[in-house]
Amino acid sequence: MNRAVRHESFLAWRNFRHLKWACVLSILSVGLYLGFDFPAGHNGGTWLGYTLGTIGALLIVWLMWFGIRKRRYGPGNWSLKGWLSAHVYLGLSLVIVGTLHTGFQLGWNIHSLAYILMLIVIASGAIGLLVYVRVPQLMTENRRSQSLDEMARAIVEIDGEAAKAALQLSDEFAELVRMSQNGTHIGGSFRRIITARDSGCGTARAIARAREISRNLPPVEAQKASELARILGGKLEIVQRARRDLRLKALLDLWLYIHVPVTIALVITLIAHIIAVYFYWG
Amino acid sequence: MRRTRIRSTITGQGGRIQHSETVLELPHGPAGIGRGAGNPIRLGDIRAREEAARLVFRENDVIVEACGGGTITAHDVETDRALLSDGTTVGIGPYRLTMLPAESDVDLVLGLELETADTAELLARLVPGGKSTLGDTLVSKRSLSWLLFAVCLLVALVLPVAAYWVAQGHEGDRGSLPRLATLDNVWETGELSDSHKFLADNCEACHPVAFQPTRDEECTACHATTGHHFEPARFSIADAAEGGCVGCHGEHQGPNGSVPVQQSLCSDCHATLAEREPATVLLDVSDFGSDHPQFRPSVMTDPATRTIVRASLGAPDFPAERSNLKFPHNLHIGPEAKNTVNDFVTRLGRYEGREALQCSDCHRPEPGGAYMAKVNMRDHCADCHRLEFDSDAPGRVLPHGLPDEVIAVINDYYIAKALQRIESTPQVQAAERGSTRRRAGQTTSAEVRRDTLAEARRQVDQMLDGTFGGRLCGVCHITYPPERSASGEWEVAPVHVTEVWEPKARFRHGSHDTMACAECHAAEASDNSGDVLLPDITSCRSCHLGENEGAAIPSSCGMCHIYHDDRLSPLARGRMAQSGEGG
Repeated sequence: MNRAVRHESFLAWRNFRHLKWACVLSILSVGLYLGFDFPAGHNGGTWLGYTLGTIGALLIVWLMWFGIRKRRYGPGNWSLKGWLSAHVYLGLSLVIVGTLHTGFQLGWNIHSLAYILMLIVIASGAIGLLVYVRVPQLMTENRRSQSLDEMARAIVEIDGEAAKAALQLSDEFAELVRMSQNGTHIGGSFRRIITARDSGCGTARAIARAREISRNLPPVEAQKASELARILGGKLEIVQRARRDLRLKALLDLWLYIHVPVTIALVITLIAHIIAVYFYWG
Repeated sequence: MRRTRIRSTITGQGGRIQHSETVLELPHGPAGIGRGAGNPIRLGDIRAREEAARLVFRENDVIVEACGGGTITAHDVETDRALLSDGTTVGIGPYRLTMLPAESDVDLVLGLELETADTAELLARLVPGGKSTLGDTLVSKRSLSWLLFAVCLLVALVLPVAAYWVAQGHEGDRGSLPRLATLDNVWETGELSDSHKFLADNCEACHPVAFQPTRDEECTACHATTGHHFEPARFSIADAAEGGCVGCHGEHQGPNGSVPVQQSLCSDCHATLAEREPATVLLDVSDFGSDHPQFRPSVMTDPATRTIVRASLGAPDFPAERSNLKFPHNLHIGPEAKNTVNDFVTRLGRYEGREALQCSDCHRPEPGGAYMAKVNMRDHCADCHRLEFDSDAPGRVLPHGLPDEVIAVINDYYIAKALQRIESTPQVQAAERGSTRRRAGQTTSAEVRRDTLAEARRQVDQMLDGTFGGRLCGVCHITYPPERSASGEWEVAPVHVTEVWEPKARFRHGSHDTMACAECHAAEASDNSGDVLLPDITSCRSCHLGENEGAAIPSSCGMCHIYHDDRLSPLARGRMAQSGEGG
């Protein structure tokens, strides 16, 4: 079973049980919202507003519990897949519950801040979901059964090959091999990891330069040079796969840099929101 | 040729050392060292130059010289040439060359060391700083979480609470409050209504006690005179509004105010009011379009006793209004009026080109546009209804609205005329004699004077009867002749023109100025001032229906009706009295 199939299965867990619950919750919320009218219009302070707010707050606490619960491995009557399924679907339904709780009244205040933070958490979670559905498959395709460590070793091996090939060639070519050896980086900075690109890649530069030089060489030399370029081309292919691997791994992690810290910000803002509402009541 | 042994040591993977040795025949002349195939001493590492250096033998010295523009090192210092035979370690690219102790079977023994990079080192070089994940390059999620937690805690909770406590200590002295005291405005759930915006930085005005809902006292501190919705003494539901003021008036709902407009606020009670409150005289109503009684104007049926009757428009027993004024609209406006007012209208420059009057000649909205300004004699009637009483004195008019003065003016006028006649009688006689001079001592006889005055008094009485009875005052007014009046003189019945037939509704003529008057008021066909020319509910419903009724103008109760009636007792006192009774 490959990753994609496994991830699809958490969305379809127990015949979409949690999707159904999320739909019931959403439809019920919308129905109540449309079905009742209030003198001052819809807002968080009506009985429906309080009800939706309470449901939303409890949902947030429960969804956060997932973050703690998933770290507890070992025996227990629970299924990570089931929890994840619930986390995803009920988390998405929170958009509806939370939005209806606001009564579409937003302003420059902490109440709206809590709402916006909630939307950011949910949006980042949705991005995370897409990433988890798509990226593992891309990683598998990109790796071609090679781990990152194996790729790195292959690169070093090719460097040796290139060195051997260049032994027969002039210093100019030897310099290119050294350039490729010393100037080729995988990762190393946020930008390089996330873009999977290195504008000053030693190998890319060496290949281009080797092709350029070999044009003016006699046929025998030129053939050796093009052999070197071929070897470095093989290296560059692996280097780029390794870079993509880091990038894909980073994508699996990047959304969490928003999802987790903003969740923490949401919790304290939500507490402040609830306290504020009762502090200046009425 | 020099027989030379080269002992090679290559330190590689994991510190693994590989030894090898070869024996070469070196020429007496310089012997090349380098990666190139032509060198007697060949270097197999790519880092070495093709022609890196050469060995030069001079007497007993063995010297290494750099070639091809490159350099070598001696004791790790760059140089062009170095003496090998004195034990110096010479660096050629990645190689280190030394001269080893002599051996019997060869002329020269050289040591050549090469240290190749460890795979781990090569791998490490691939990933600068070992940074291969986001965690290696970004601040940690935990730190970021704590940072955001701290910022949100400060802004959303700590500062607002601090603002509250600071403001508490400064009661009544808001001018000197520090900026901190306003930082609780991030707790504001929404924009205040425009009328309360001046309180935006003064949360404590409405929220004086933490964790306690806003009480009515906070509202009535300013709104002290706001009236009840009904007289609390008459009805058992002393306070219809659940939850006090804030039960209906939710604040922080935006600039358009906290006055609710939902129909249900009224219809919740008024749909079944008769059942809830048998004492009420109001009819049940739930929706203007579908369930609202016909209008019931308050009609003055007897101005003498000020009797006012409420009756449904169009009902068979709908009373005629008695204003003590006679004004047939049809004789002033509309097709019939051509025959009656045409002469006047064409004569007066201001109505030029018209055949009849039009509504706006008399009826103009008052400033503000709510009601119509009062019609008055001077501005609206006197142009045509000139109070000239004697054809001998054109332009002399009677004072309007002052019956006693009218009587006095007529009296004075005719008595004065009689006196003139008496005075002129001898002159007439003299004229008959052909003399213009009166004889000395000659006077009008007492008989003539008496007759002339008696004639004058008859004229006065005739004129009063004509003026009050029909020709002038009586045209528009109900008048009483002396024998039926309290004063024994002619009297004009006081006029009671109803200004507002529906005092419990608010209607703005100014909001309807795009419509023609006749679309609502059937005045052209009215021949009696007793007609109440109000449009009935059907007329209004051609545009106005309830708040949820399709394409019409959504008209909830508040469009025409008010809730707090300032003619009733103030809500503040009533509430306090009730809470006192309750306590």
